Amino acid sequence: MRVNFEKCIGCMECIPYCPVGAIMPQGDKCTIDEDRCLECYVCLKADVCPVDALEKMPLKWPRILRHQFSSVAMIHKDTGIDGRGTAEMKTNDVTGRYRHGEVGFTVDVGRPGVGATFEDVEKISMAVAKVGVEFERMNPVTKLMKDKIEGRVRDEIKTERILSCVLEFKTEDSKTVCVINALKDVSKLVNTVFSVGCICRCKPDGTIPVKSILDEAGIFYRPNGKINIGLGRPLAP
Amino acid sequence: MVVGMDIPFGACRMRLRRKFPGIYETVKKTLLNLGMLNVLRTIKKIRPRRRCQGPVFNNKKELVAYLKELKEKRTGKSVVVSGLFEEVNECLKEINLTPHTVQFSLGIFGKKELLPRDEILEITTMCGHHTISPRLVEKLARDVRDGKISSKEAVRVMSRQCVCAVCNESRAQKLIETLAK
Repeated sequence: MRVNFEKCIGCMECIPYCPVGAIMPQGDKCTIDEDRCLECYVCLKADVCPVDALEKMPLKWPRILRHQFSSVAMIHKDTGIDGRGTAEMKTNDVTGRYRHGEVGFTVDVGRPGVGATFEDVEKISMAVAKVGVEFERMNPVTKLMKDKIEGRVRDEIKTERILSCVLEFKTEDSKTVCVINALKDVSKLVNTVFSVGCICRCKPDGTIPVKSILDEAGIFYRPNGKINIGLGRPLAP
Repeated sequence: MVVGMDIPFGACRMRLRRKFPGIYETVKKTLLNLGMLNVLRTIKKIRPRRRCQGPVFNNKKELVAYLKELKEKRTGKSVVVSGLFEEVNECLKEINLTPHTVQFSLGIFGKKELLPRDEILEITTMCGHHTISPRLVEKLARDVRDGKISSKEAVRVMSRQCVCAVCNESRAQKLIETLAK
């Protein structure tokens, strides 16, 4: 995004709408920090500029990734899903992605609301890759990896900044604590925040195997979360 | 509590392709011949599919009634409830359902000093995509405090930023009133 200086009247109405504070005053007008800007178009959609001074810039590779991961309305061509392009556990009753004996993780990098570069994403993916995880194939970040075993992303995207993206992977439930420890260690090395979700298929009686693993290890989890209630029709085996 | 109905669009297409490959290809070719495929693709680009949609409940009774209705409709679509595990499980028991898959939140890791203060975060995190800017929340709280707008209007301005429309407006209003004091 850019501000058309000719049109801008310096009312500053747009400034608070940017989720990452990329719009700032410059003299008696506004400007957009190109490095900070995520191309999410939230400022444009807010429609608060009285003179339409906020303008889209043409987006080429790799900058277009900013828009693809930061704009809610985008449908990721690799997964056919909008937003961050992930289904995660929400359709597990249909897809069977996470099975008994497995634990899934979602690492929402840049969330909540800080943003991140793919350089930080790679630090996290490489840290968990060392424990031995399987990255979800139908995930836009996995599609950007040049090495899915080591968790390395393509070199040309590392400096691109996004509002957030979701690393998705799974492993045997016996490795749950190792993964969480790896995440704790790498959290000291990144220049962003990330939110971690831990996914578990429930037993027929509703008990949650990973809960006892987390409780025994003294790992904190919130009392609220997401529950897929199993009304989806499974895909054919 | 939020009930979000998730439509596994990709999974439906995969199911059709796998079960009826001949029909799938015929439909695709027919649409292509009619020039409709590109039209459909264009429409899809212009009007992104709303994947997540669902009401927000603030009492168990209404949630149970809603879930009972969904269960009876047998749409075959996934349903995800976000809320306190204990409360949601109680509701599920009333309609003889057990959780299929759960996701625990292990919290936030990393450089937490980059985050806005908790009172702001409580509001901005209502939008799962973080399109509600913390600076906007601060500005609106100031405007409410200064009597420029009501807390209800402030919430309306904020909610318009959230595309998925799962912002809990009554809770947001209470939070912004507290912030404005």
